[in-house]
Amino acid sequence: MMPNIYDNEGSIPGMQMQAMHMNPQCPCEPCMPMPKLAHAYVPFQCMTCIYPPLKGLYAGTIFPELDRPYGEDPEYLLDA
Amino acid sequence: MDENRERLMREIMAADFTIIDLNLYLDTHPNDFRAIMLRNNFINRSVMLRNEYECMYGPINAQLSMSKCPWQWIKSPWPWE
Repeated sequence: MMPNIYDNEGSIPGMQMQAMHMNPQCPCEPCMPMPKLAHAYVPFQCMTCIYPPLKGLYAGTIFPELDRPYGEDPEYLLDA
Repeated sequence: MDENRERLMREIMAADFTIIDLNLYLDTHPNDFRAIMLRNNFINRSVMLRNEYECMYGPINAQLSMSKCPWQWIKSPWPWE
């Protein structure tokens, strides 16, 4: 029914970022405006593709860009 | 547990989880047409899977499932068994 939206492969975080900027559906172009010094930013999520339902259930999210299991991403560990 | 019953239950849970996650996304992206369409599709899918499950294995939920006579809810096995 909606085969093209699924991301079946694990993707590389950098590639996701690039895909996010290139997404023609993205309403906020560019996703990350020129940052100002001393301001904290949270980039606005732009849906690109989603996991198939079963994969999403096991991952705890249907969004590949939010699938960051604790301990696997060294950058994520730095915040702890 | 019956293999098909377990597979169906897992697919229902997966479809429902997808709907919940899309709900959360839509709270902050209320104009994302594609996300709304996806959610609508998954609601149809969940309803279809529930009907299929309930026809074969009985009610999933005591409040929202139709029952024939006798009362089906107390008939084993429970949905979580």
